[in-house]
Amino acid sequence: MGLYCKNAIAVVTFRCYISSDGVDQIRLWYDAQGDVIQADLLAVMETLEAISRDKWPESCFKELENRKGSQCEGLVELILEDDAGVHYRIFGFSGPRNDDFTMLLAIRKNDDPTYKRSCEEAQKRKAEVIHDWNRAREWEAPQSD
Amino acid sequence: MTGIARESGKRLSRTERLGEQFKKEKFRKSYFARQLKVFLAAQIRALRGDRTQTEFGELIGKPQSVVARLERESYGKVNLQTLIDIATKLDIALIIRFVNFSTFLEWTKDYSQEALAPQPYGGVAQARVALPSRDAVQREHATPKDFPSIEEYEATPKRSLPKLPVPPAEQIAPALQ
Repeated sequence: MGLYCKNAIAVVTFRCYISSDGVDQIRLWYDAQGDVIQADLLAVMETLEAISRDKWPESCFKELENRKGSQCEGLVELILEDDAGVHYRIFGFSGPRNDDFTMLLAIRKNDDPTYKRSCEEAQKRKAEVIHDWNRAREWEAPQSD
Repeated sequence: MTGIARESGKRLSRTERLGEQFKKEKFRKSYFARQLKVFLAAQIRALRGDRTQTEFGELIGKPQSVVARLERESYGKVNLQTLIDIATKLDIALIIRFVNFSTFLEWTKDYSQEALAPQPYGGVAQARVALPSRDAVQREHATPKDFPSIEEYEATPKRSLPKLPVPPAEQIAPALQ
């Protein structure tokens, strides 16, 4: 559960990928976003962490399958959208512990040139996390600016 | 993120934390809109439980496609009458009203299973009060600035209305005619 209290026991713990230099890559991305996307992600996470993974509502997320020329199997993407209709995706997977969801890679979908290779990068990060669980740090809700 | 609260390790409540971020107009508008949509979709999914969308559709008198749309919150075009129909079929209530952001934060803090999939009328649900009492809110989440404690409230001198002379009945009666 994040660093705050509310009227529910979190059933899913959100975690963030930590790169080899110790940087929380998801928090780094989050802090660089505008208010709309930050609010969007918090609203999604607050709801999803209270719901078991198999009961998550569609469209907050999408189970990814193997696309041509990519390696998406076993990955999930959280779906975010800003007020201008620009889509963002956060790639992640269920693990490494039971009831964990680890966010691996965040991208701006519409025009990010790395989007097509995002599954490949996410799988690489997933393998690192599974090998070393310390590479997935629990998400902490921002306390203030 | 450089907040003093985080640096000192103080745990902020959701209300305190979001209340601070709600000072930013774009943040609060985006948050409330997404929270509303996601939570509604999550409620439909939770109410469906282990039933298939088709089975749940039969229960609420809607085709499977409607259930799928309701769970896909990005669809965003929810018909109010559809929601009323679902609530009626499931024998639960529905609240839709405009509120200020303080009220929004207070009313959306409950993510418990009971909040996601409320029980139908009767039994436990009938006996329980849906909203927390003022006392409970005060104890769990509010700051002393927002809500005085019961003791402080009791100790506060109460303002009383000035005693005005009561006019004779014959003077009041004509005014009422």
